[in-house]
Amino acid sequence: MVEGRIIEGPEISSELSESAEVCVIGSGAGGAVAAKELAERGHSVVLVEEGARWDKSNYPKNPVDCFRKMYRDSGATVCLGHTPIPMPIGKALGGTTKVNSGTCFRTPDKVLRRWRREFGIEGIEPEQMKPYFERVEKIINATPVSSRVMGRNNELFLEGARKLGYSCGPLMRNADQDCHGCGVCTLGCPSDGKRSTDLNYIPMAVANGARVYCRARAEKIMVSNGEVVGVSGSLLDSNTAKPRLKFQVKCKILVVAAGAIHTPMLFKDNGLANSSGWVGRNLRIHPGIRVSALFDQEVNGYLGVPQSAYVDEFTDEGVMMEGVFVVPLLSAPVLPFFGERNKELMFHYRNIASFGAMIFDETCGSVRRGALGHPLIFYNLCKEDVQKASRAIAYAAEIWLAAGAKRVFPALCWMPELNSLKDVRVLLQRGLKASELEMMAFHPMGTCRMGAERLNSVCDPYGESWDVRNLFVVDASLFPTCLGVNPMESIMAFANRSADYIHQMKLASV
Amino acid sequence: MPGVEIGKRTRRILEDLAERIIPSGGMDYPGARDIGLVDRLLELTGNFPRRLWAVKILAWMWELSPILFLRFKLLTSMTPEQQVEYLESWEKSRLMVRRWSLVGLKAIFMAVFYNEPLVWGKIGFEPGKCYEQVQGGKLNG
Repeated sequence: MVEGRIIEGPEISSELSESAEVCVIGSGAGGAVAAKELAERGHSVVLVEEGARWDKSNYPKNPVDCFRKMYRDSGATVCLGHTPIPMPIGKALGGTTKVNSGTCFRTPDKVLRRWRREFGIEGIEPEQMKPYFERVEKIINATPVSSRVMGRNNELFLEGARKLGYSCGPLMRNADQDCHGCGVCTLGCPSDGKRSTDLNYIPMAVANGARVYCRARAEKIMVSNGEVVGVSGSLLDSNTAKPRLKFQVKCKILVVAAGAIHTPMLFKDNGLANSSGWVGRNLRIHPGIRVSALFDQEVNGYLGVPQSAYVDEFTDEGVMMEGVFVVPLLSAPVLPFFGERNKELMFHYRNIASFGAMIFDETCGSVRRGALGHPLIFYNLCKEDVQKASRAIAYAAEIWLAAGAKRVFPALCWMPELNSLKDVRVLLQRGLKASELEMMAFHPMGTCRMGAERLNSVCDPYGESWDVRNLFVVDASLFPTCLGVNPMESIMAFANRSADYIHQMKLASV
Repeated sequence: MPGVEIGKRTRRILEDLAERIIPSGGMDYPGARDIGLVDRLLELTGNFPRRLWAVKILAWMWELSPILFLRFKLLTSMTPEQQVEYLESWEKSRLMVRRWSLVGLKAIFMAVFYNEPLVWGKIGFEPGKCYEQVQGGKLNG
């Protein structure tokens, strides 16, 4: 077996030429799982990752540095539409698993059944997917958040929800005893307590011979006679991120896991896999609202895991509520006002609490490459989703008031302050417009959707392109609709399923 | 700031904007001028010519914008009170683009301001023990 290793870009001084049975693009939830599962079955694997390797030994020195180093465009990716929706995307070894909250949910049964019913995807019944979820959960150590690191912010919201009789509880996360509840999960993890893929799947892939190249950006997919034969791209400079050298990997199977924004852009750049016209369309993002609250008591929301609790009382209405609390540099701009009034609120940072809710979106956005090479993402919230967001704001405000908040600040452009249930009712009756909502999103999905019909899908039910043989997609692009839960575990389980298929149907005889 | 030259006029625009977004004085924690916010911003953008260029364009768009909205004055020609009133008109505008422009402006200055350990202490943000240990005393670079 070839010795596996992780190769940082700067180590390479001349153009690189590799060959392997499988080349994987991207090291996040999809790519890392595919690489590990295939390497473990004895296949030669090369993985290329555009981002760099960060862990507790070289953790960036401050929050701004974290954004610059671990996010695409320093976290400034934005969806354009009735209201601009920031959607930060990770770029590091481990992909977005490096900078997410670590929340683990299985794909809801009713979503799996809907995909079978509406998109004809067979083999994804809940009982058929169960072994994949169990396998993933074991490897990433998915466990409920302990009270030790839950944090007062989330405890308070749960107290409010329980007073109102709402269904709620602690979330499952991929973390171990090294998680000390530093509160900076979205800036990477300074203690490596959050078990992102660079700490489990990637080392396991490497132990089985996979070669992992960091700061390597895939650009051109090579196809011959309708079959993928390799990929080429650039090795990037560690300081400027500009192309420094070229690389080429010849492979039999190409697994693309660059995320639901960059996978379709790669296909479009190469003019591939788009006979259906669905590449880059059907974008779902789980747009999220946030409601902050000011308490008399100290909350110290930055202590503890920021996303450690959920309220799922309203999932039938398309609303899932989850904890969200961020460092001051991200809190201040989304609190109302500027000048002295904003400063006064920030002066009470210790007393501020915050919770979020994501919407099960029916809106379909799109993505393509813009003039400067950055993604151009269009996403116009449909009326139904605006109504869901309005209700989500009202429910969160109601819970905060039940928990004892004195002032509640929903993230709306006209900066209302809610002090009583009457204010909440007035807000609901008034109705909201899409352009009034200040939202964020973290879960792009659906831009290379799978399906049973090649006319209305990009990939088959195992993620293989209908148009190019041996070209697979194993990231959230595959999902035909939104999930209604954080997608990390679903991406991993489906990537595992695709890897099994690749091994059995494509490589077993090699 | 050594190494980053943006011109006196551009600096003045940025300083005025920063001071209106995070005013100095008042309560017991610093404002933009107190921590040299514009210098901090330029430090962060100075190594990236495109970002520095973007900051310059942003500054001048704000400087010239009052003319578009029939104020017939440059931003830096206004008194501080007029500047606050002008920025509030963006905050409360019915036009989404104007509201979000102000959020963007807030985000730029506040992201730099609230990245300062000195400010963290004043607002009671004390990152967890583990975070501090991992930082290994590197918080000030």
